[in-house]
Amino acid sequence: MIPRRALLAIGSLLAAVAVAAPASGQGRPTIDIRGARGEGYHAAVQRFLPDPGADRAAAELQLALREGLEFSSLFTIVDEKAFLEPVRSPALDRVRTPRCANWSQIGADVLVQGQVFTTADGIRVEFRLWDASSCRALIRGKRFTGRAQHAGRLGRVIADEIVAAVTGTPGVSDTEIAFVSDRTGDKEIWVMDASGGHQRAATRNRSISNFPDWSPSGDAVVYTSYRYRNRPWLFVVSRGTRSPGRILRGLPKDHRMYRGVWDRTGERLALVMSVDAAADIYLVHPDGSGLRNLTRNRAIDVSPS
Amino acid sequence: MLAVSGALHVVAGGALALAPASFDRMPLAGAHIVEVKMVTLAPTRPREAAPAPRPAPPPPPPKEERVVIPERVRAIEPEPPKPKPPRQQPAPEPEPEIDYGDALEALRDELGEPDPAAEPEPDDDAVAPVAGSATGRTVAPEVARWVSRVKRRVRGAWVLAPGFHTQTLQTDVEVFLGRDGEVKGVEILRRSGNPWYDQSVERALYRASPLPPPPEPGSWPFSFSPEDAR
Repeated sequence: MIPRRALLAIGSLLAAVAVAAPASGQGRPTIDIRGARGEGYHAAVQRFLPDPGADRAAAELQLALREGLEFSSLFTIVDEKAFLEPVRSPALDRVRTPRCANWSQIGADVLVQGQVFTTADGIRVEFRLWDASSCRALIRGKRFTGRAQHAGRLGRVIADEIVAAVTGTPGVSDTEIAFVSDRTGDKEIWVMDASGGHQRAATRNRSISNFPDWSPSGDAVVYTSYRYRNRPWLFVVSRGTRSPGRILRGLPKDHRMYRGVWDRTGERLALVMSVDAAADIYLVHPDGSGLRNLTRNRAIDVSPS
Repeated sequence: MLAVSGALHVVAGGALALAPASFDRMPLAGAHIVEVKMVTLAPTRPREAAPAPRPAPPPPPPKEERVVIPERVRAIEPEPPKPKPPRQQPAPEPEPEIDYGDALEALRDELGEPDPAAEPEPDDDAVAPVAGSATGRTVAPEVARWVSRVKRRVRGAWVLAPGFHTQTLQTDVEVFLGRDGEVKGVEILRRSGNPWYDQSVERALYRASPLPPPPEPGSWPFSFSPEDAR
């Protein structure tokens, strides 16, 4: 005779085996998988086939692509020495399904193939992304053009596209970070690649510049600077321009603007401005039009986001 | 006594009175006196007060600012129509992988040790009612043991981007297993609403293939959610 307590224990143990209502008609228990523990995918990247004269650009692109994929922390790159297939990508002029078994066998989850063409004013890059296990094209063909000297950048753009194809969210290897540095003796706005490289000054005000914030499109930065009459003022600097725009030029001098941030559309800025002692949040278009209060009270309202 | 004390106070007071004068006599190299007058400035009219057509307020020479943010590389040509995802094909020749969890479990089986990480398993062939189950069905111990191993293997093969971990998602699939555990096909019964999540589930199953040989070949239902049960 089995004691009642033992029976109860067996019953509760069985309950923990995660048996739920059958999803199929065969009366089998549903196997609940909760939480992923996989550490990342393995990407095999075949060397992009270059047009004559595009070898150097293709090599630079290849390096940046691999670095961009690894920067995502989602991929590790499969060593070319393990390849059972050619190291170099085939021409993409016709749809050709790769021998996926040979890629799965070396542990590759995805396969990247591509080609670099020379054009009149630069290069054109085409690439394809395959899921090695299902042998399905995740990206059947995508093209980018640019100058040959921007091949590295194109490689990072492609890496971000690959991350997007797998996760639904683009990678960030081709993004930039704006930050404040006083390495020249003054607080200036600086910009660097997401990996920390290619650091360069975006302002040379020889004053105090602070609080940079990228516009959603990545084409402009708003920041606060004391360069004009030693008062905090908001400036917008756009990509490719040389002179930053001071926002709200016509404000009386007792107004103080401390910080601005972009809204999601990039059409407006939220800014902190004080007229009397108390700061309030305002909304304004980047050209300075449409200024209006968002808050209006005696307390100090700061840090819009 | 009082006289002595008084004399000492007089001497000390005299010394203190003379001391600053001696400091003043120290020469200040290159010093000169600057006289400062405090005045009240007349209120200046804000030059930038006039609004729209740019009143040009130059006075304090604005410093030239140089902007060095380079132009971006842009995608020029649009993507050709994307293939609509799934329609699952059977995986071509999945290759066996080393699974240390399985190897450890095999060792434990051999030595007769319990697996501390595994879900509790019944230790006899008794089939008891499953408490809390909607159907009150039961699971044989060998099935429970297999389920435990499959879970560990599939979780280890499942890769999720960080953004998914905090979302409420669920994908239910039916997995077609061969006698040796090979994943022969995956059919999605219930989509999560996020195609990339669903794809990660399919990919996890093929990555995990072959699974431990099932008690019976055929279709087995799986349900995937990002919630970590640890």
